[in-house]
Amino acid sequence: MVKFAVGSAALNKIILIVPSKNMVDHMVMPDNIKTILITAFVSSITLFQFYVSILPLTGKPMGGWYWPFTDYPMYKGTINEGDHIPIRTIVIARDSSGKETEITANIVGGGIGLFRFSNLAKTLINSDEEHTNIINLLTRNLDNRDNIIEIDLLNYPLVITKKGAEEAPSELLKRIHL
Amino acid sequence: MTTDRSIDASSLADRKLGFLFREGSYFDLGILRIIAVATSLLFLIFISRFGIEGAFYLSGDFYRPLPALKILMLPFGWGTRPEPWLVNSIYWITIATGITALVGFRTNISLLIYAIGNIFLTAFIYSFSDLHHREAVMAVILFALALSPSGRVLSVDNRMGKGFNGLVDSTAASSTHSPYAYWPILLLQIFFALMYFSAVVWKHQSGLGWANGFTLQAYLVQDGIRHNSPIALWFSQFHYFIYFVQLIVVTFQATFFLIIFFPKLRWIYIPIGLVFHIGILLTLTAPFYQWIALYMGFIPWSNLREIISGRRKIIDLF
Repeated sequence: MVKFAVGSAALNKIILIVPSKNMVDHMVMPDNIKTILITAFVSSITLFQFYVSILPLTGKPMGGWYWPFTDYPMYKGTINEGDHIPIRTIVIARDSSGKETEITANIVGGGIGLFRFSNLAKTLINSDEEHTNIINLLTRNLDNRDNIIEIDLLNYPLVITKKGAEEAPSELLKRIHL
Repeated sequence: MTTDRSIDASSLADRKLGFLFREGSYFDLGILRIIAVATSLLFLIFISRFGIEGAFYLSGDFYRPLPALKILMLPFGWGTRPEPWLVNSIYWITIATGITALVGFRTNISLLIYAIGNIFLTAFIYSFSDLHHREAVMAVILFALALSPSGRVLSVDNRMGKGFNGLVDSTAASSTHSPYAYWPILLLQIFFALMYFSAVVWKHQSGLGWANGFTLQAYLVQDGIRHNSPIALWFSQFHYFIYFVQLIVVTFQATFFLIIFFPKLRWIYIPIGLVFHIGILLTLTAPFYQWIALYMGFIPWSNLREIISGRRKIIDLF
């Protein structure tokens, strides 16, 4: 076993021991260094998470980009009496014979899932670009995919009241001609 | 523990180590380790596996690698999409080190590898345009546990006489308590407080009208239909009850940080928090299992053990 006395008399209380074998089992980090490192670790995490948490106030939230340091916007939107609440976006594929098929995340399959499906639908609604790849993805498992001539994206809203929800008419958000 | 080390045994007691390094119980920390690793392991095996398999089939259009994944993939190139063989290899290494971390064999190195593997796998799933929030706190706490004496007790290491790790603990510590055994639990409380703080900030970004009853009614209806939850739809009818619940939620989230400074308040916040998270699980189908499990880390298990053995009175908890 080899001992090193480190630094001045005050630091001589802290001795780094370097054994000849079983090094990891017997290694000791000086307490003051441990304290500094742990303080830095905790402080860094706290400060960065706090920073991410208050960013929405600046109008430029980081979202989940720096995961695991992320903000928590779940259920954030305020909804008032009489507001229309979007339940989901309905995607309807219509072929040349007029047959309509509702496309869901389950029909698309392949690990898409509910959230990715919603994001794909929002992209089609909000973007003026053709997004042929998204349409091909959404229609890939339809038997009549080669005859699809239109894709309708509809909102299925409800109106919120004190007694719960009441139906409101669906609204056509976008019609895409193929 | 008797060694040939010359650290003054009383120096830690004499030194003002501050808020972060108050004496903590090895038992409490060991329980937190077991809860955190067991919960995250179950998730990896039974839920994350499906996310990983699904991501393999997604095209490159979906791939938007998170910075955490990019950093871990640096040896293969910045932004490179990991091949299935690599992800699968990391998956099985993570599972293996999770098991050794759970039983407390080579605890700290097992935890470190497990924590890194966990971050890699979760970041991989979330790099395909679908990110959620439930795993973040677990990822951070696993790292904290790796850097703390979480294997001092309740571990194979301890059984083998190797429970003490001089890299993360102090030789001046007793056999049951250490000034380095509390900070991961404190960090857990801080992180929860910051998560709730973020939620409050978002809810009031555009004013103070969030807690109006109608907001939560709407979410109950929305998620009740999406996830086929009759209980959510039933609850959505009771406007005034939900109004009261929303006020409780906002107050709870905005004041949770108080348990950091007044630990006895946890006996109010833990039950409310558990009811809150189990409630949204049952109604909104919001699966924050990791948060529910980590709430157990706030409980002073060592004190409860003493109460059961008659060495402490229950009133001492409060």
